[in-house]
Parts: sequence; structure tokens; C-alpha cells
Amino acid sequence: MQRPRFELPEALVMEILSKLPVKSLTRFNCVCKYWCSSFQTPHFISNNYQNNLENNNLNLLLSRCDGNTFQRYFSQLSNEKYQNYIVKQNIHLPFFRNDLPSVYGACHGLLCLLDPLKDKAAIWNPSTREFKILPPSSIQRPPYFSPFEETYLTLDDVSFNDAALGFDSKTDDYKVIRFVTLTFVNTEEQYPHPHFMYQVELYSLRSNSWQEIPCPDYKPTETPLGNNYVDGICYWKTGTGAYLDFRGLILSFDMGNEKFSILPIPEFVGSFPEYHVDLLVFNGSLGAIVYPRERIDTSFDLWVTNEGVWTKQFNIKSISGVVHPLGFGKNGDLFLRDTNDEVLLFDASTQELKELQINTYLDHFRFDISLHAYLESLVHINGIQEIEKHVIRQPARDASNE
Amino acid sequence: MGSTSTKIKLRTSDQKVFEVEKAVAVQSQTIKYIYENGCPDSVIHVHSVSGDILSKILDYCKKHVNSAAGKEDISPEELYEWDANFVKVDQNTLFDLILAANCLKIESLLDLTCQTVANMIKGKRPEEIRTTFNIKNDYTIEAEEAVRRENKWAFDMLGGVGTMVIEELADDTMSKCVTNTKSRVCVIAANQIVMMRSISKLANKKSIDVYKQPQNPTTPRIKESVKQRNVGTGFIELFFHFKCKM
Repeated sequence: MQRPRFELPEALVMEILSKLPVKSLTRFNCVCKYWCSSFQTPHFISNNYQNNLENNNLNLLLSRCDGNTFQRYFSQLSNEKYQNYIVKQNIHLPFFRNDLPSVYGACHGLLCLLDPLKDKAAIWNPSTREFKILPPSSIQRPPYFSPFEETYLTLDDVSFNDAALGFDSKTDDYKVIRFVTLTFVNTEEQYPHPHFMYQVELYSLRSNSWQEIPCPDYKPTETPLGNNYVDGICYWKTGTGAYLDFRGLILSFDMGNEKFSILPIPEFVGSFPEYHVDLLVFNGSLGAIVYPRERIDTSFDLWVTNEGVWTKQFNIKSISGVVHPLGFGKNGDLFLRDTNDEVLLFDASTQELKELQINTYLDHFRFDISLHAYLESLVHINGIQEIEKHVIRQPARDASNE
Repeated sequence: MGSTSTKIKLRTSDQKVFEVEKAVAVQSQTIKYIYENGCPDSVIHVHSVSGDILSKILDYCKKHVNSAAGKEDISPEELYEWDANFVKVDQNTLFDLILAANCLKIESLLDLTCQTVANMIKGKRPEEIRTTFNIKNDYTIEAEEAVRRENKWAFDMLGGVGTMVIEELADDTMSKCVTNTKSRVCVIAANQIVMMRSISKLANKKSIDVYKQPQNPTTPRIKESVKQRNVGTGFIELFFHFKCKM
């Protein structure tokens, strides 16, 4: 490119720059000091994110388990449809070593990685490669007195199962909420049976600390597909009643006022036990993929809810051999897991089922594969750049770097 | 009632007068505001826009108005193609269009032109960016090195890291240069991958093989056409952090 005849005013230069991918902006940090500091301003970060949102600059991560090492890793899929979503790079997480972290988010391009068995968590911006290790919670575990056995029980296990990463717009703060299950046993018993107790912990990035918040009556029974945060609120599936009385419900947590709520799932959306109702976030709203249980030849309905009103968005007619949906990619393409635990794609434009060359047959825990989508974002999280001790990226053999 | 056939007169900075349909002209929020708050019959001055640029802009507005109103049978994909061709202009014209779209407040055109420039520069090196935007580098050498090191991953283009001495190519052909762990050198010049045979032969290299840029730049062994090209004889030292896979 040539030297211009005149200079564009700074505001317009910034307008142009806000449309650049994060990698380019990171490189252009060394153009001049003013640019470097401008890229860090909330205004610029927000404009850049807005642009990514409008252009749906989505990146896809497939969370899987290595068949040899049994370690969790991510396969980043190509964004280009013509490339058939091949694996561009594999991202390993030595930080979590032998544990299988769960992935929550994305919220503004950020993901939360949470170890379900240890008090170990991180917030990660995969676009800027910033990794923020969260401090341990140091919240007191309460004692458990069993009136029947007339003794205090011993805390045998602490697990962190359902969580969410969200944004509080009032305080401009990113928060992580997680449910803690405490298992108590009577060690004097020969075959001790477990007693459970629950706590809820909330982490704030601004204060970089955890606090305990009151536990709701309903605990999450499953986490939605992909992302469980949208528009200031986090969601999980929960339920009430037992056996044939069971009703699926939605547990929600408002990141702003830090309150829980329960939302019903209308019968006409999908009743238990005939249907699976898998919650997910679709096009900026909470929704669900509904499909029959106990059938291989399934059709999928996508429902979306807004202010309590549920509407069916579309239906994907019967696809044989598919077991579970994994989530949506770009342009309404639906990723699915089939009876062989392979990853397939339902192409929304051609209405065809496609095989992807992702080769999960060597993976471990193939039923546990999950898909996570995040938008490119410059959001800062007071972390450090990825180091090999925490994150290792390996380009896939045939992939190119843009 | 006949409002779509109302005409508005626009006078540019170089005294050219354009008569356009109101529906087309009010795509510009600035013109819309002046028209609705000023005298609808007299001429609206668009001081900062030249005749050539305004003419192009009016083409854009007309196309978009007609397509939205259904006056023209054009699919969203075709309109997208039309927009892509619209911005195939030289850099100066593109910058002029950006300034004009900004001043006339035509949001979709401003988005289109800015995104076009963004796409043109996204793969560039910082040095080239400074030229494009006439920016003075206010970093000290050490400070710039530190920033580059911190953001090393963003400079990864192919494979292989290092500094190297190569023959100097003509100014406009030399863009980037990388080495790899083996003794091959890959030079990228003017968007073509120029592969040299081996470092040991560099000093006397008079000609190099030119490979057409493949879809996948990490496998330069894909050759589409091979040409011999003569190069200069000076030596230059380059510092780049690139990764090279061959």
C-alpha cells in the first residue's frame, strides 16, 4: 500500500482498526504507543466486540479427551465452511493436568475452565491468549451434624459441578458462579452412605475473590449445551418431582442482582420422559433443542423463549443415526453426535447431513464431547499470556496460519 | 404523493451540481437533516465532497435504495457482490469515500469502506501500516522489541524463527523473509512465495525459484508455476519472528 495523499482523522482510523481481527490488532500494538493504548480502552474493545458480534466472527472449540493420555484438550475448528470445519489446531491444557475441566461460556469471548474435582479454575480469552488463574475459594465448609447418628460427619469430598461465566453490566464485572457439592460420611460405619450438602460460590474478577451466596432450593441437574449465559443471566436445567411426576424446570441466576429464579418449561415444548429438552443459547436468546428419547431416527425442534413465551423456530426432519445435538456453529449449522460417537454436521443451507473429518474414534469418553463457540474479543481479564505450563497450542498437520 | 420523485440539488466542493431523487439523497443522514430543517428548494452544499466522489456515492445510494424498495430485482448475494466491486478502487479514492461517507453520515457505506480497508491491512506488518496511515513510530528500539516479544504469537506467519542474512531483493519485491531449522530459506516477496534452495548457496545466488502462493502457505512445496528471477547482490539483515514449516 502506498503513502496516502492525506491522513484520515484519528476517529476514522480507529473505526477501521476496530474491524480488524484480534491477531492483527495484537501485531499492530507495536505500530505506535498511541495505538497500543487505544486498543486497551473500553470504547475500542467494545466497538471491536460489537463488530465481531454483527459479523458473527465465531470460533469453534470441540472439547474432547485424548485416547492415549486421557487428558482434556480442545480442537479448534476452521471457520470456513468450504474447509468443512477441519481441525485447525489442538489446544492442550497442562494447567489441568490429569483432570477433565468443564468449559463454561462464552461471555464476551471469554471462557471459564473449571475443574470439577479440585478448587482449580481459570478464565481464558482464547483470542488474545490471556489466561487468568482464579484463586482458591477459601470458603468455609460447614459442619454436618447427623441427628440420627448423633455425631458430626466427616467431609469426604468436595466437587464443583455446575457453573457459569457471566457479565454484570452494572458493575462492569465478570463473575463465575459455581455449585459445590459436599459429601459427608460417617467414618465409623463399615459401609458409610453419603450425606450431601450444597453451597454456592460466586467469583468476581474485579475483587479477584470468591464469596458464598445463599443456595437455591433447586440445584442444577444439567448444564446447557455450549454456552449457558445470555444477556446478564445464567441458566441450568433443573427439575422437581420424582418419576412420572418429574417436571423439567429452568434455574436462572441474574449476574446483576445475584438472585436465582425458576422458569417453567411448558408441556407443549417437550414432556418428560418422552423428550430430551436440551437447553442452549440460540441467536441471543435462551432456547432448547427438543428431540425424542429412545429413538435413533430423530427429528429436532428448536424452540426459543423470550419473556416466558416459547416459540418453535424450526424443525429438522428425521435424521437417522444421530444420538445427540452438540450445538450450533455459524449460519445455523448444527453439530451432532451419532451412534458411533462421530461428529456430524447438519448443513442448514443444503439441509444435508455431512461427515466431518474430525476423527474422534481414537478419543476417550467420546460420549462426553462438547462444542463451545466464542466470539473474537479483546476483553482484558488481568491474566497473563499463555505459557506452556498452562496452555499448549499445536497446529493440526494440514492447517495453515492466516 | 410524488415524494419519491422529488429531486434534491447537491453542489459539491468543486462546484458540480447533482440532481438526485430525494429517496436516494436522504440515505445520507446529513443531507436528510439539512433537507428537513432547511429550505427544501434551494441547493444543498456538500462542501467537503468532490464531484467524482459524490457521483460514486450516489451510485451506491441509488443501488441500495432500489434494491430495498424492490425496484431492482437483486438478491442479497448479488448486492453483496456489487458492493465488493464498488470498493475495488485505489487507496486514495477509498480514503476519500470513507471521509465522505463519514461526513454525509451514510452508515452502511462507512461500514463497507472501513471494513474494506481493514481487510486490506489485516495481514500487514507494522512497518507497512505506518506507511499507509502516515504514522511516526514513537517507540524506542528496545521498547518496540519488548512489545513484539510480548505479542510474539501474532507475528507467526509460517514456521521457523530467526534472523538471517539474505541477498537484497529489489525494494518492491522484498516483503518478508523467514528461515527454518533446516537449511532452506523461504522468502515471501510481493505475495509470492520465493523459495531458495539452501542457505549455503545464498551468497552467490543470482536467481531463485518462484512459487505461486498456494492456498495453504505452510506447504510451499506446492508449485503451480516455476520461474527464474534475477535478484540483486547486496546483503541485508532482517529480524523477524516467523514460524516456518517445510
